[in-house]
Amino acid sequence: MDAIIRVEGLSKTFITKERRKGKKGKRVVHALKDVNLEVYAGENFGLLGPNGAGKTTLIKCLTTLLLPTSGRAWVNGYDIFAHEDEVRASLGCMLMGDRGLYWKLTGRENLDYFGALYHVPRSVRRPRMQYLIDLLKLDDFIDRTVETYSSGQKMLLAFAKALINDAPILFFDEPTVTMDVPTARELRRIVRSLNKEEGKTIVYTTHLMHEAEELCDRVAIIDRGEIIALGTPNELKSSLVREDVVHLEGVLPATTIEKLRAIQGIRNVAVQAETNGRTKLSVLCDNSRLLLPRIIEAVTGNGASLEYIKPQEVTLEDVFIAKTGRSLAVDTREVVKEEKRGGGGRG
Amino acid sequence: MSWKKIVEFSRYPVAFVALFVQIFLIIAMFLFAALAFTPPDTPPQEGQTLGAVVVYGFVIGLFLSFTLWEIGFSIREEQTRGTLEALYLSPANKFSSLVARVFAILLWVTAVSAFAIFFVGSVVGGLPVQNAGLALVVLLFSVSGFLGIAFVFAGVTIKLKETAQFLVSFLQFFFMIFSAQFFPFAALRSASPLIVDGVSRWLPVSYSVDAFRSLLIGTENGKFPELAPIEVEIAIVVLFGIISPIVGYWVYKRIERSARREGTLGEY
Repeated sequence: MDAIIRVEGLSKTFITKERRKGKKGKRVVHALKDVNLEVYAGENFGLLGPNGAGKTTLIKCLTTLLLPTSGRAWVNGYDIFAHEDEVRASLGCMLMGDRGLYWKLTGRENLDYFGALYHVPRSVRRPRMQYLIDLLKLDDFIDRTVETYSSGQKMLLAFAKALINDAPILFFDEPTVTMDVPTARELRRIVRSLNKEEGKTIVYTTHLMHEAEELCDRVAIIDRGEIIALGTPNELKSSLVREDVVHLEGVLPATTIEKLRAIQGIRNVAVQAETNGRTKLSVLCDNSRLLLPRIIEAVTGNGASLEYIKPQEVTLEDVFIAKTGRSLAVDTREVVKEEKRGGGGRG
Repeated sequence: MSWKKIVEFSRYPVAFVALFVQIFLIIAMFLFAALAFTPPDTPPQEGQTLGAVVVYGFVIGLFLSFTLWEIGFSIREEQTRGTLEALYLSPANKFSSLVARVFAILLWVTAVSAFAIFFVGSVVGGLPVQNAGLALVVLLFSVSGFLGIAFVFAGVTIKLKETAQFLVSFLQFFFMIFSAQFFPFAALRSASPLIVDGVSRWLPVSYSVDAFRSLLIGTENGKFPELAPIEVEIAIVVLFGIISPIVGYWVYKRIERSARREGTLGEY
């Protein structure tokens, strides 16, 4: 298959000034580290990772908004350094959520304006706008100024804006993030149809594993600026086929995780959520049936109260946990801060 | 871009009218202050020359201020709303989008300037209008030169964000005083010749102001131009109009590239 996007050794380092306790200093952040990947024409490619993992940085580099520190990349055959305008003309992007719209203009005026910026001729622009208005059911609010829109309506307009130039490659950065459940479901249906019926190549970033599993032909899992796993959702899940996942929830003392990790046969333990003194854990192990009694024994006692325990099918989230020991819900930036405070940490 | 600006203006009718009226209040303030200190036995021709000094300098000041303000303000606004990144995602020519940003406002400034000249003319009983064609050429090259300053300012806005708005206010008053927009350079010289020789002479904007109003008032009486012979002033303004946008855009591109390297293009 032909690679429509090719990335070779792409790295991005930010040097930011910071002021801590009145002292000025510099902070070096390696947002991308030697990223290599290929996205094939007509593919729906997912970038999965927690907040702060480097997904948006990678997309910003590929869309020319950000200049990489080193490495090379080609989009639709064009070098992102040498042919910026050709790269931009090849893309339709929804990167900033509901930002990036002119609030004093109506939705229709926004689409018209962005169409003109992409050099879409007026004769093509008008029918294209009407097609998008019908496709996304925007007709109820398209002639109102954007300032009167709800968050979901702004997201839909931003999505329509990404399609106005009918580009062969579409970048969507967490497009469903502020949408209600039915609208998000409808948007995913449209993304699928753009890919399968119109043959668009789609790069879709999300931290929602079910979106990636539902939509993407292949997924790259990105963490701390590195691609830690790449393949079809089934390939990634089958890499853990000999492993089981046990989900459990309850009032669990802090020592529980260490106790669980000490059990032979347990590969990794990650905190999924902590609310009102209750903790949700995912335990990755070799054989859940065999280990279940020992897991129960480890999480009970010492004032613990186990409320829920269930072995479950492997998901992409479990793949992430297996690779990193953390849940996708955890903000990578917070983890890095925690590890710096504790003096430990990876890379 | 210009179309979008016009549509956006039309959505703020109160602000639009207030700005229009405000311009006349400013010019009235300077004009009446100048007339108040004019001796009662001053011949009408002197009063007309005084009015011409104020209003013609004001016209240049208006073009400079609005070019700077519009570019700085609109880039800042786009930065905070996230539309600047959206603009950079498109293949639209960035030079055209910068120029188009001020095109609508320059049309508006042209209309306001015509009204201002009419207003002052009716207060002082007419204004001298000589060499109108050449004055227009000076105005066009001056506006081209101001665009160059505005390009630099656009880059500065991307980098400095909110601080840039304070910088433009400072620049407005700096040029208003040191380029003698509302009074003759003789007034600056009477305070201290060093002001004119040490500052005003080094500002291309000063030559725009002096050449524009000297051409319109007339150079025969020996009072105008005040900084250099008119041929020299016109040459300076023409060079300013050619070199400034080239240098300004180069500086803008450098700053914009640095912002793209640092990831600050869309920061707000």
